[in-house]
Amino acid sequence: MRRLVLTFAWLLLQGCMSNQFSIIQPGHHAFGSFTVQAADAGWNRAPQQLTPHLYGGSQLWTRDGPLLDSLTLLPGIPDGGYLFVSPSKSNIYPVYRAGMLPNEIAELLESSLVRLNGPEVVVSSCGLRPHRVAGMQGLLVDLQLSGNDEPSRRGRAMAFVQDGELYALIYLAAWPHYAEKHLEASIAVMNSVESGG
Amino acid sequence: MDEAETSLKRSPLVVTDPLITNYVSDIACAVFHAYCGDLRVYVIRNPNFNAALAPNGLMLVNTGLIVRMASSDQLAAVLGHELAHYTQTHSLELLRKAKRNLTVGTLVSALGLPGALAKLGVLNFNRQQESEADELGAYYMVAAGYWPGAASEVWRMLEDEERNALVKRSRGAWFLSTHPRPESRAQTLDAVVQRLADRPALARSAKAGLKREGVGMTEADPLIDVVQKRYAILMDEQLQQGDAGRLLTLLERHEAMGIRLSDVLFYRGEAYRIRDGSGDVERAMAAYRQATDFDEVNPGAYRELGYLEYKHGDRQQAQGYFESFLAEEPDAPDRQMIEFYLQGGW
Repeated sequence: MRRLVLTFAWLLLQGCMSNQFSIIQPGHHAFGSFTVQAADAGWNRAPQQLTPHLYGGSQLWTRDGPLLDSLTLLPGIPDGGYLFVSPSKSNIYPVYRAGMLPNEIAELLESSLVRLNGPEVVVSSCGLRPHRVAGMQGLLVDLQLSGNDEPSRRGRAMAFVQDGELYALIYLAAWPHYAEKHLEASIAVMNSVESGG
Repeated sequence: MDEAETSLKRSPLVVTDPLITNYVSDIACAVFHAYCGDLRVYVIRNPNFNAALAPNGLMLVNTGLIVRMASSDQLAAVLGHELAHYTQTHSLELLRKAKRNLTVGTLVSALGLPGALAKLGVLNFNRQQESEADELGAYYMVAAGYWPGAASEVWRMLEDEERNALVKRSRGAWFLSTHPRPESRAQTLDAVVQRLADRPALARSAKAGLKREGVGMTEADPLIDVVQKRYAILMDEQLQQGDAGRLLTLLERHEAMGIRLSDVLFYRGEAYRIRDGSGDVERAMAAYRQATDFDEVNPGAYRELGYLEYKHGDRQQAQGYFESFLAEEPDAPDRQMIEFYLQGGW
């Protein structure tokens, strides 16, 4: 988390944040070979400069700013791929394998968030449960991130596998206010996944 | 820094469990003796091996340090070393040096208090300061009745872990960043213990049954009780780091210390499972099965066996293990998912 906060703060100081967020128009938006739907114009897409940890096809959506809430869309991670881009040449993230069971995918999400946020943030996941989306079997898991001198973050991740590729949406927001404020809108995006992107 | 301490007190990562905090504070106070009144000890949830003491008496001890200790003597060795930096004003010198370059507030806000302390307290001490702290720390341990040979054990243990690690620490990691190599420091500390050998205080500590041989320990050592009672919390943090090499090294030590074997076997299964190399699934399953042979079984062993059997196509075996898991853990937070498997599954 600290790495992310520092990145956001540094970029803010550089003036990169002021005009590069784009409003996500209500309607369907590509999510790999699927679509997700934004129900209103409240979502904003973070510019790539702010998301160096995301691969090209991934996106970070936010309503009140990425320091307060974020919905990360990770489409079509192939067998042998990673959820996030490593900051150095040597990979720090656990690998996704086609054929992983839901418990393994939940562990993959948790471990990837552990690496992304560094050792000074404790990541925990809880309440792994099945979830059907777009006619496919997926999973839901609740997440909690706690750091030393920053607000705790809570949220939820939804994931499913299509043709061996992993699709995941990760919602995290400052708890309690923002986490509760945007949970419903985030769940709506998660539940809006449809095939045909 | 005082403001940062106020903020730290509210941190969700500060451990408030009295079993852990009282244990660490008692050892710190014994080692710090006359300086005990200056001290405020905070145990922090952090999987890395680290402790740091600020010039104002604020001490941070990571849970990742506690879980790696094989004895109270070893914890006393680390705390004695930190005390020596404090009494020799090494930390203060570092703080002044840092102030010349940037404000402490900047350092704290950039790294967080634990990060700033780690930088101030350990990373930047020079070779002479480290040697002084090693030697003086051993004297403090002896004065408090602990066996100073434990200090060299700590260095050898760290070197052992690093050798077996799948992901090596960066050169910035504290125990590698100081100039002497761990083995060299261990040898220096052994020499210090030799010089202390005839001291009456060391004789007293030996008579008190505190002298240890290797990593073996007496049942009376309260460290075992603390680690055993909070084993899942401490080990889940390590498991999350995903380094099976470090985990297996740690588990070997825990088995030697006398941590409950069913717990050690469960986490050994976890280590093999996450390593996922050739034959590791079989090793993991064997370890989980062994773990279920004990009366006090970690229910997670049943769940993991269920998942692995399911994955390998034996639905009947999987069902049996999942049912055993739910029987042991009826309120499991992932009950819905386990029931889903029992009804047909993924």
